[in-house]
Amino acid sequence: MEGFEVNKRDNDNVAILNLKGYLDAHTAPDLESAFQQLIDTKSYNIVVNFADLSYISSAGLGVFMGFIEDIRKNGGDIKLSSMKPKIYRVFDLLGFPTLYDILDEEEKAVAKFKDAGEQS
Amino acid sequence: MSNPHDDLKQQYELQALFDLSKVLNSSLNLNTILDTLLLTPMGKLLIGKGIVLIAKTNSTYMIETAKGLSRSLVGNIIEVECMPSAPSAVADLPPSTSKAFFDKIGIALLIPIRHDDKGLGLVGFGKKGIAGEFTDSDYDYLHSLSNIAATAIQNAIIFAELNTANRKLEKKVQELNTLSEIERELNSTLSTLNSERVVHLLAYSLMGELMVNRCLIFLIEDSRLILSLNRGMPAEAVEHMAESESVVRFLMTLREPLLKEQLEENDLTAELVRTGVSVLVPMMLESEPKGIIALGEKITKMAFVPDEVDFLSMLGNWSMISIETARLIEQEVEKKKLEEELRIASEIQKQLLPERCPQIPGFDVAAVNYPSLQVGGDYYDCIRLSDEEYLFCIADVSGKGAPAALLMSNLQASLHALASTDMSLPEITTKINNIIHRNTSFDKFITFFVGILNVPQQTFTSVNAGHNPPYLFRSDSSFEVFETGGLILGMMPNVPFEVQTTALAKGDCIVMFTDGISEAMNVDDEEFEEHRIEACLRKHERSSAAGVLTSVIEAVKEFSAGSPQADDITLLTITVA
Repeated sequence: MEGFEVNKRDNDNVAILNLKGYLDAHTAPDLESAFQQLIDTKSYNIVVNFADLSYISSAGLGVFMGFIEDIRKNGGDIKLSSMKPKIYRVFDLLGFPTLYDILDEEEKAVAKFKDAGEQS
Repeated sequence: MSNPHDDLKQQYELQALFDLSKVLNSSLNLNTILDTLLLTPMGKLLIGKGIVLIAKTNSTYMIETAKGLSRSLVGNIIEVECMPSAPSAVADLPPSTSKAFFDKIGIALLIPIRHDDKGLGLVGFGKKGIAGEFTDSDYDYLHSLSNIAATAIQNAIIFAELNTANRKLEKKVQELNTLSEIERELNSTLSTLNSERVVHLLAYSLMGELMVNRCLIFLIEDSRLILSLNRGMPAEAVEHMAESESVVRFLMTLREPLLKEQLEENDLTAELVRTGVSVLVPMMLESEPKGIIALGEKITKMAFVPDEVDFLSMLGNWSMISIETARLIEQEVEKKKLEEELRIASEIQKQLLPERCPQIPGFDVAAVNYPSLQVGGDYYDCIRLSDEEYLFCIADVSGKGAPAALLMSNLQASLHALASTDMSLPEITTKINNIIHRNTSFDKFITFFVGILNVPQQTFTSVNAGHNPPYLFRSDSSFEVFETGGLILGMMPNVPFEVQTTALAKGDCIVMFTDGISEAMNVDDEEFEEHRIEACLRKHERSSAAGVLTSVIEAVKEFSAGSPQADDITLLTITVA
């Protein structure tokens, strides 16, 4: 079975998580610990780039639910970008677009944080 | 003779209708179609208000769109008692609630939207702004428009239904994927299946599937409610909840899912709602509740629908199978580990005991050790110090299993090392006591008896550190016990020990034993006790050490017949020839 990788990089004050492979119940804990690390280091502005993700299950989506409130309470957000149509379909099906900013390019997601920063 | 101007106008109108028909039929979006249906005539005939109702059942209609009217009308469902079959002025309709409604909002004209003789809906318009009453040609125009739009509307409705059905289907597929993931977990290799993991996976899956970020999962184990996972619920409130006996009882006996409205109906469960619980779903296994899922509100604040509760139940029940299997495997592994530990302990113990008793001229020695199932800490030893001196020892290490075996090996090593020095018995005992005290916790100790047999002098010099006093039976059946010594080993450091030296004579018999003998139980829960050992020794001939041994063991066996052996049994006998 295909594995899962999550890699972190920084774009100014925004932490980018690159997801790769298969995000399901077995690999969800990897993403969970990545989010936990960001919270521990108080990096609350997060963009998750889905460009290399080929599969996501409900358990994978559950991880996003588990952290969003904590992160927003701290003035941050999780923005999602670059999903393949198949991945977006799952997010859409479960109603995520009403709650999360989902953008087609990572740069746009990063820019959203910067815009918000300038406004405040 | 037709008026060329009218011809032109008619031609123009036909062209307009044709263009409109193209626009309408090129769209599958119901809103676009209905907007076009309203706005085109409103612009052309200067009408200020328009409304479209789409049939939901035979007589109920939903307001799909409205122009020049309050937006809040959209989505309302109204009853239309008599559906006009042709364009009709509202004023001409017989009195009814729907007529009153249209009058009130200022709709003057109603045109049915029909497709294949089926009423799809109704389009209504307000009064013409300045051009006065609707003319016959207006009626014709609006009627044609509604007819043209009907096909497009029908297609759009079917398309929307298909879309909804498709989405529902995809949602079901997604749900099935989630269930199959739980099932995959069940089928994962036994070494990775673990109940905590399944609970985690269950939580993630339902949080993602239902857009929830607060979730509690309780498991019922040995008739106790155990909080297995808390994601996002206030810890204090949950603790408070778990402390309330009535809440716990309620949760453990819940057999049907309960939604927030139902929870609010009684005081007990209303408390749960205040904690943040929006839905409770029991996890059933073989029709018995084995766990409870408690979810907080959806992030969208929307209520849970029955379909979702069904899904939750299914997900919970499936997970329960995995959790239970994992639990059984964990128990089995634990049992295996314990068995293995016991096997090792008993192996260690066996190796620590002497293989055979020494041959001592003028003396006869015999010993036996029956370990109990749980492997206790009995130890005995016979060490040849020189041709003239032999050391004997019997001890009982507290505890059972591997810890007792390790402590025993500690004792054995110390004793063997110290026995070869020229230290006296009390010094050796003090030294061993200090070693044991240093290396164990306060609740670990050893009862210990050690004696040195001097062959040419026919004496027995002994120290008793809290062990059941061994017997010295004389040939006339009088007896004494070896009590001199001191405290149990390992209790406190640097305690002094006293020593006694006893002269031996022909026909004497020394009997050392552990509490496996004196505390052997019969079926009436009585103990064998020392007096039975004494009676047995008095009764039997005491010439051979093995014979004495056998008579005591036989007496114990007979006494405790029908009861399991609870502790190790060790017996060491020395007779003087």
